[in-house]
Parts: sequence; structure tokens; C-alpha cells
Amino acid sequence: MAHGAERALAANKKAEPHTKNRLLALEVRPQKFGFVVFEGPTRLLDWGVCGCGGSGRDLGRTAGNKIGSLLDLYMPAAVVMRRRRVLTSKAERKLEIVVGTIRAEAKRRSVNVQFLNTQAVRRFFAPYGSTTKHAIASVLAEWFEDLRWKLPRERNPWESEARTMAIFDAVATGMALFAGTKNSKDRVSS
Amino acid sequence: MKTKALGNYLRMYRKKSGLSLRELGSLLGYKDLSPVSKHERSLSVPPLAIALCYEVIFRVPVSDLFPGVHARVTREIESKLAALEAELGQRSGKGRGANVTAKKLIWLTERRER
Repeated sequence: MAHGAERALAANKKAEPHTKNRLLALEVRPQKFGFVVFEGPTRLLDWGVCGCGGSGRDLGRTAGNKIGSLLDLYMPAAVVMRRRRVLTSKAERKLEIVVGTIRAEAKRRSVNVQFLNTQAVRRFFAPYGSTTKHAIASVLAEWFEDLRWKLPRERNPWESEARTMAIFDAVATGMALFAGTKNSKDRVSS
Repeated sequence: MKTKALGNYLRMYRKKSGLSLRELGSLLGYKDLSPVSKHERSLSVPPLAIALCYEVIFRVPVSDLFPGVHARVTREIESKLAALEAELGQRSGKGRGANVTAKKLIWLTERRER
């Protein structure tokens, strides 16, 4: 399974010698989050997209329930997500609530939360000629055949992004972490 | 950063197959999805027949589907067998039942070496 991913990590000199550790990779958006549970860099245990609508306390509660159940079920060693810049202050507020909830739920279970920046993820995929989100998703769909059928077609500029793209973004973040982004500038302080 | 063994891999294999909880439940003969969901979340352990059904559906041995349960059962049984072996070893080698005790000890030794 995922021989491509294995090769990619082997080629990366910085890669940590892994391990069967579980990792929960998240792609948090104001209205939803994509999640992927890794067991080591080549095995995906679970993946999906959860909606977390509403605002304020409701938003925190729905996100908290979903994250909490994932943390209880898989007991990951760490949670990783990307810090994203959003365009509106309303979306930013929502994002802050969801991220805050994730950190609180993880802290309650003594799970380490790490943040990566987008450059670290793009740098990892650059050798594969993947510069766009869809190109990265296509590489990941090749590496992880379970995700192949979730890959959306390339969108036109006037179309909104497919819901399942959040899964691929989460996988990309997880892979970048597994690849050993020890560089401190890649890790964003929470 | 070491994580505990996972109770089961049912959810992973179901997701790989693309089956929904309801579809898997109906294959197993359940009327709703809650028993399968409970098995996946390790809230309940499936009966033997259902565990074998999972094995048939996913073509994965039960011990690989439920590594957490398998590890726990193995630990418990091995410690009970060790206690039994110690108890048998203390019995006298003479008198009634000595042959049976010897037979059991041989079996336990062979089993350990297998």
C-alpha cells in the first residue's frame, strides 16, 4: 500500500525513521474540516470531511464533538494542521474557534498539536512537479489508492472547491510532517 | 510518541471497500447500523459468528481485524497457561495421574516451542 509515499519519504533525507505511530492530520476551514488518520506514513486508517456549521458556541461544540470522537477512537500521538490565512474577519473568527476547540480537546487528552505552514507542504511536493493543489492531490491519489476515487476533477476558476479536496489537503499536511520538517521556520507557533 | 494498539481495523477496511455502515450491517443481518458502529468504535465486541462474517467480507483474519482484542486475549491466556504449567510442575511425579500431568507438561513445552 502506498509504495509511492514510502519511496517519497525514503528519498527525503530529513525523514524521521517511522514508526507505526498514529497521526491525525486536519485541514480546518471555517465551515468544515477534512481529516485523515495515519498509522505510519503509508497506511490510512480513516478519512473524511466533517461539517461544522453554526457560529460561536454551537460551532465550537459541533467541532469539539467530532474531534473528540476521533481522538478517543484513534488515540493519535499527535495532531497536525496547517495555519491558513483567510480573507474575511468573520471566517477568521470561525477558524479561530474551531482551532481553539481542537487544541483544547487535544490538550485534554495529552495529545500534541503541531502546525505547519503551506510552504513546508509545497516544498515536500515540489520534486514531483506538483505546484497546484490539484497536482498535489493527484500525486496523493496515486500514492494512496484508497483515495483515488475521492479525487475531484480539476476545477475551473469560477467553480467552488470540491468538498473532498479537504481530505487531500489533510493528507498532504500529514505527509509533510512525516517527511520530517524539522526546520523550525516550517513549524508555525500555535 | 508511542500510541496504543488500536482495538480494531473494521472502519479502515469498510472505508477501503466503500461500504456504508448500513450496507455492512445488512450484509451481517442487522436491521440497523448501530451494532456495526459499536463494533467499529470498540464499544462492543461482536459475537463469534459476526466476527467470522467480517473475516469473510473483508478477507482478513479475525486476529488482524481485531488486533487489540487479540493482544489482550493472548496476554491473559499466556499468563494463565504459565500459571498452569507452574502448578503442574509442582505436582508429584508419582502416583495416580502422573502420566496425565506429564502429558500436559510435554504439550505445554511443545506449544511454547511451536
